[in-house]
Amino acid sequence: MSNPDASPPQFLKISSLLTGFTETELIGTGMLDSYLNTILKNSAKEDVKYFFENAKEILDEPNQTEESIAISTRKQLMPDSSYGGLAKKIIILWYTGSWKVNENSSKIISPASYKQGLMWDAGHTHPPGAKQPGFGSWAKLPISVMINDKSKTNGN
Amino acid sequence: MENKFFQDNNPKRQKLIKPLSEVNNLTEELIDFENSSAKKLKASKVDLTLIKNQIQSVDELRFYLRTALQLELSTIPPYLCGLYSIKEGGNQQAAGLIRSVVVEEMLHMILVANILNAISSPADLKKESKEFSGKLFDVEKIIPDYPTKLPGNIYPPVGKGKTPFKVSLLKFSQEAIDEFCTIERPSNPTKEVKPKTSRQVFPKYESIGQFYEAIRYGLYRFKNQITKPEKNKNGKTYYKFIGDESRQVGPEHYYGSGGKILKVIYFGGALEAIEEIVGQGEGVDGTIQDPDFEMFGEGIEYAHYFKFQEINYGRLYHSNDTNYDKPTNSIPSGPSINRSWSSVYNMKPNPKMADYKDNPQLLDLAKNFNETYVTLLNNINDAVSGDPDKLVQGIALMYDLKYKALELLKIPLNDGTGECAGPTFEYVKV
Repeated sequence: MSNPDASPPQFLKISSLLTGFTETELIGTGMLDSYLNTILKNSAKEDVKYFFENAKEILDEPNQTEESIAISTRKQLMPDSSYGGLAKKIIILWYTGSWKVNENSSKIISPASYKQGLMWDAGHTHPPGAKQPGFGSWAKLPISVMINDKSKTNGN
Repeated sequence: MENKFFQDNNPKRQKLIKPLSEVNNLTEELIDFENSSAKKLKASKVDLTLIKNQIQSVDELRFYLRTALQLELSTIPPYLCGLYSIKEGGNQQAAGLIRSVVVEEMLHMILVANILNAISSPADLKKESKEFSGKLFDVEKIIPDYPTKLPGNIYPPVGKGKTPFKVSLLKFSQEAIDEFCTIERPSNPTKEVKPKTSRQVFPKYESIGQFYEAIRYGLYRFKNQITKPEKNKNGKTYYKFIGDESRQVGPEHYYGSGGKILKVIYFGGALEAIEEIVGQGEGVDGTIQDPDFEMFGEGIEYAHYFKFQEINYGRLYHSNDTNYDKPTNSIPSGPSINRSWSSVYNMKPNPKMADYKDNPQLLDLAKNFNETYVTLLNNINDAVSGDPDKLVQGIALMYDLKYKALELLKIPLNDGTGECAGPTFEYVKV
C-alpha cells in the first residue's frame, strides 16, 4: 500500500482507540493483518487515506488528554458521513469479525475472525461452536468474572 | 482442535509394571491383583532390600506422595507448551498424541491425591492443616520454576558430560520431544537405586517409575498403619484405608475420564492407581516373557514414552516392531506421520512474566493467564480436599487456559530474536 499511514502499527493504534482493547490484546487475536487487508480491499482509497490521516492527527496531537482524544474521535471519526463510516465499520469488524457490506448485511471474514470477535470477551461469553467452555459451564459464573471478582473465587 | 476429554477404557492399553519381589504378607486380594497385572512379566533380579527400605515412616510416605503430586504437575506445563505452540491445522497427529498424554497427566495428579487422601487419617490432616491452609497441598509451593529439575531427585540419564536433566517450557520442536521422551523413559529394571546419603532427602532416582516403586514398597511396609482389615460377606478379608472415603475423587466427578480415575478405598486400589500412573512405561525392558504378548499394533494404546517416540521418529509403531529385550530401543517402522517443526509459534523458551516487564499490556495478559492457571490449581486443590464435586468446574478453566495461551503465542516479542510470547505458568495471587 502506498499510503504510509495505513500501516499495521498505525492501524493497531487506531483500532485500540476505537475498541477500548489494548494493542497487545488486539495482536493476541492474530487478526490484525487480515482486518487491515479487509479494509483496504473493501473501502474507497480516498476514505482510507483521509481516515488514517485524520486518526494520526488525533493520536499525535500535542497536549492531548484521554478526554480530548475521545471528543475528537467522536466528532471527527465517528459520524456516518466521515470517510464512508469507516470508524464504525472498524469497530464492527473487531467486535464481530465481520465486515459490514451495507445497512442490512455483513460478511464473516474467516472462521478465525468469528472466533476472535471481541464481543465474546466483552460479554464474558464464548463463540458458540468454536471455543467450547466445557459441559455445564453455563450454570457457573464466567471464568473472567470469577477471577476478577475476588469474593466469587474458590478458596485462597 | 478436537476435544479429547473423552477417553474410553481400552483393554489393549499398555500397562506394564514391574512386579515387586519379596513382598510379605500378601492377602488373597493382593495376590489376585499381582497375578492379573503381572502375569506377563517375570520378576527382576534386583537386590530389593535397598529399595524396600527407602521409605522409613508413614510421614515419609506422605512426603513422597506430596512430591509425586508436584512431579505429575511439573510435566503438564511443558507438554501444554508443546501442544499449544502447534499452529492450527499442522502436526495434527502429533498434537493428538501430546494431548492424550497431557490429559492423563492431569488424571494422574488426581490419582496421587486419592492415594494421599486414602492414607490420611483425620488426625494427619489436622496436624498438617496449618502448613497447607486446610488443603491437601500448597498451590504456591507446588508450582515449579522452569527450567526445573524433576521433583523427587529424579535424574533420567542424559549421557556422559551433559548437564543434569532439567525440564524446560519449549515450543513444539525436536528439543521438546527429546525432553518429553527423557521424562517418560523407563529405567533399566535391573539397575539398583543407591541408598540415600545422610544429606539427601531422596535417593537419586533414574526414572519416575523408580520413584513410584519406592512408594509401592512404602505402602506395603506400612500397610498395618494405613489400613484396617475388614471382612466382606463372603468372609474374605480386605484392607481398607484409614482415610475419609468422601474425599476420594471418582469417575463421576469428572466427565470423560473413562474410568481412569479410581477411588482409592482398599489397599489394592492404591496399587491399581499406581499401575495406572507408571504402568505405562516402567518395567518394560527385559521383563516381558509372554511370547504372545502384543507390544505394538492396531488398537493398542501406547505408553507415553512410545507416543513421544512416534513423534520423535515421525512414524507410527507397527506390530512387528516389538523387541522383547529392549522395547524402548524399538524404532517405529509403521506409516509416517505428518510432522513439521516450522508450523509452530516461535515461543521463547522458559518465558517469565519478568521478560514482559517493558510491555505492561503483555504483562497483563501473562498475569491473566497465570490467574487462570492458579485458579485451576486452587479448584483441583479444593476438589481433592474434601469437595470432589468441584472438579468438574475446572474443565471450563482448562479450556480458558488454552485460549489465553494461544493469545500469548500470537504476540511477537519484538526483541530482535523473532520469538513470540508464551504462557509462563508462574504463581500469582488470585
